[in-house]
Amino acid sequence: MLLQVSDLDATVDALRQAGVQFLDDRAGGVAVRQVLLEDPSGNPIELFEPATGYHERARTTNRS
Amino acid sequence: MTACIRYIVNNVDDSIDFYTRHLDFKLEMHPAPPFAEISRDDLHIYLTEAQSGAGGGAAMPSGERQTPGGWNRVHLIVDDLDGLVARLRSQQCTFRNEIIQGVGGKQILLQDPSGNLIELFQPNTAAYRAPGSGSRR
Repeated sequence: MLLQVSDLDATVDALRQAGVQFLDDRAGGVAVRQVLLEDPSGNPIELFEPATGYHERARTTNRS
Repeated sequence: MTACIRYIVNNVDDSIDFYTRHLDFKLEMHPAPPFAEISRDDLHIYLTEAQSGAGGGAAMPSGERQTPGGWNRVHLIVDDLDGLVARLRSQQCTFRNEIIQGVGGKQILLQDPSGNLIELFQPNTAAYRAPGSGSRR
């Protein structure tokens, strides 16, 4: 499951302070920045922050 | 905002073919070999190959690689489960189980080419409540 957020760094900080465990908090990515956290059962939840216009560019320029 | 699920797959092209041919998904975009977005009505799925670089399929800081499979799945509501299952079987699709009857309907677990599950579900009892029917907004 992907959850889009507008400020990834602030969201990660707030969740970390609340005790949420991250599988990967390096905020890497191609055109988007993303992290993976765990739900209480270990299911991954992805938080991502797209660069401005990312979705529009991807749909119009790279369809195949 | 569109709801979106990411499925880790072994091969994006094989997965696009599977979902578009068998389950009426449409290809939204395929901007790079290891990534594509497909959709079926409001359900959007990011198909992503596990990889060593950055991105949604990247390995964990521990070095653990992402792998397809597990028991979580998307839930697809269908009109004629028996007919669909018969058609998919004739096309050599693989199921994890047989059709079972539950409280709200009957269902079966279909596997994609990477072993990710898709639950095919046909509501058929008075107890069934469609997704969103409990929302008060």
